[in-house]
Amino acid sequence: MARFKAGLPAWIAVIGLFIAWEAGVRFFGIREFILPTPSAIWTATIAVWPMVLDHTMSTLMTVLLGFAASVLVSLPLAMLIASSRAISAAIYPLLVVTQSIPKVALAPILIVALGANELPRVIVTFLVAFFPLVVASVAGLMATPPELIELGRACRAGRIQELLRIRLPFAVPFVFGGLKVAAALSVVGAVVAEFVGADAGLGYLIQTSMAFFRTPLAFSAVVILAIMGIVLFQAVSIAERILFPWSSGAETSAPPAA
Amino acid sequence: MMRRCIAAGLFALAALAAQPARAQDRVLLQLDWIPTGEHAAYFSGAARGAWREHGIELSLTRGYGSGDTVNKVAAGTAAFGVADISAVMAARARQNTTVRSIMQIYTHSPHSLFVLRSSGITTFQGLEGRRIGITPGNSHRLYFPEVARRAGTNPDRITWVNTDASAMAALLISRRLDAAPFFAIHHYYQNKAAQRAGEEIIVLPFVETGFAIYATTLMATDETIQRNPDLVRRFLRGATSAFTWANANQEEACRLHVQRNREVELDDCQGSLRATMSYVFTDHARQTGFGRQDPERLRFTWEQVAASQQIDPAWDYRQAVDVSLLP
Repeated sequence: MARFKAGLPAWIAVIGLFIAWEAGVRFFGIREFILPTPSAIWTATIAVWPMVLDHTMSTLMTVLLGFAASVLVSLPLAMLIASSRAISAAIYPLLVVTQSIPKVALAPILIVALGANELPRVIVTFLVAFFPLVVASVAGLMATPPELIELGRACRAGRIQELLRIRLPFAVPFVFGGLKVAAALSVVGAVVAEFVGADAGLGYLIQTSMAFFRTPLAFSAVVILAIMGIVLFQAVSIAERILFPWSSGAETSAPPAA
Repeated sequence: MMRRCIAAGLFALAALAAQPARAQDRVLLQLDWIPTGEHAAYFSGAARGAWREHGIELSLTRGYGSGDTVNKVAAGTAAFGVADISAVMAARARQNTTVRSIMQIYTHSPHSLFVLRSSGITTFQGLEGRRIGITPGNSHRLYFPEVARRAGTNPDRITWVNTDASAMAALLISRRLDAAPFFAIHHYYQNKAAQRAGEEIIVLPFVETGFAIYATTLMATDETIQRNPDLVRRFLRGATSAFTWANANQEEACRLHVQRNREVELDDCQGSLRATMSYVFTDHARQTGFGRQDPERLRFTWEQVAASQQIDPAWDYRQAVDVSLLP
């Protein structure tokens, strides 16, 4: 009940947004191909829901694979960067390079090189999502209070022990902060990839719907993408609450003694 | 889906790798754009086994414009492609990309400008002082000076507005643009949308000014043509029978098309396919033979491509074409 009450303002805001949208479009007589009403979007989606579901599952697959890839690469990479100044100096510029290249420009090149299949889409999703996760994880690993590190060293903790038992627990709230950003960005990455190389997926649905003037269906895909982003974000939050209950309320409770 | 795509890509590569004809060659055909009714002949043909009876298991994948299809076929991502002949010629002339047109599909180009009836524009002359939408690199813009010259329009008195392709039609219908470049093939469903908004789209085709150039072709690499002419021959036989059947059975072709491409509505597909076939089965095609080219029109096409894209006109354009394997 308490949780329901806490979530109430969010629900009111979302429902209010849709009501204002519906009323605004009707009141100002905005034509459907510019901005369809939520009811028109709903009707268009329900009429072809098996197709929309297929496209959704296809995008979800890319998002999850890309997200998984960014987690699998980012955490070890962050540990590597945090472990040594030399490695950090060598890797960071390269990471910034990957972030400076617009993924929309990179995606077609990857597809020519790797073929029109899932792999280039996952790579683009990964490239969009992994950077904030690396930065957040490194920040977390470096944020450990120096006294704790010194205490660890005084107790003859090795580098591995120091990393696993002191630095990592301290980094958990930062890592989850990065994971939340990465989860939302994965959705963006998957759609960018689908715009330039896919026969299915919500990005593809947006393109075809716009081409065929089925604007409500394009908006439907956009709304589903938004929902997908919210769900993934919440899933990460829930995982954090379950796995590291002390982390999610970091401001009220401190991490366990290392 | 994913696995099928990977498998199709791998097999297309394998088909390229100089193997003698096999019982069932798996081949990937890359289209020039998203599958609209324009492509119903390929999808219905594949569904009915038009290529299977010639020993080819054909997969189809969407394209991202002719230039991209040419690059992907050249890179071996797909064995065959659907692309505008101008893209094939330009790629070969500019970068020596070893690709050729192997079958002419559209005997004249569907390049046109769409205008609203309510704008009062009825001819190309009426465009002077108006705003035409365009996307960067769009061939309509490149060909327009010649069309304007033929129509007696002053191209300098036209304002071009750069915009995004997906926004173009909406900008036209909401009257933020006076004209928008489109292939006449797409008039049917776009006009349907315009009518819902209380407008009507009329078409100003470039070809009406006598600007008759070749357009969409089927294409492949030199390597495929030289090392596996039998595969190309069988592929073209399948394509010929797919187009012939789809032309005679347009409704059924569209039914098969929308089964595979659920984003397309049946009615829109039929509107597009009807228009498409008027570019394929023409008097010109009957004279040259289906899929073949008339040397005079081919020369004129190259002149226009070379002039509009600033390529040396003396380059021998005939090396970008090989229709000798047609049935």
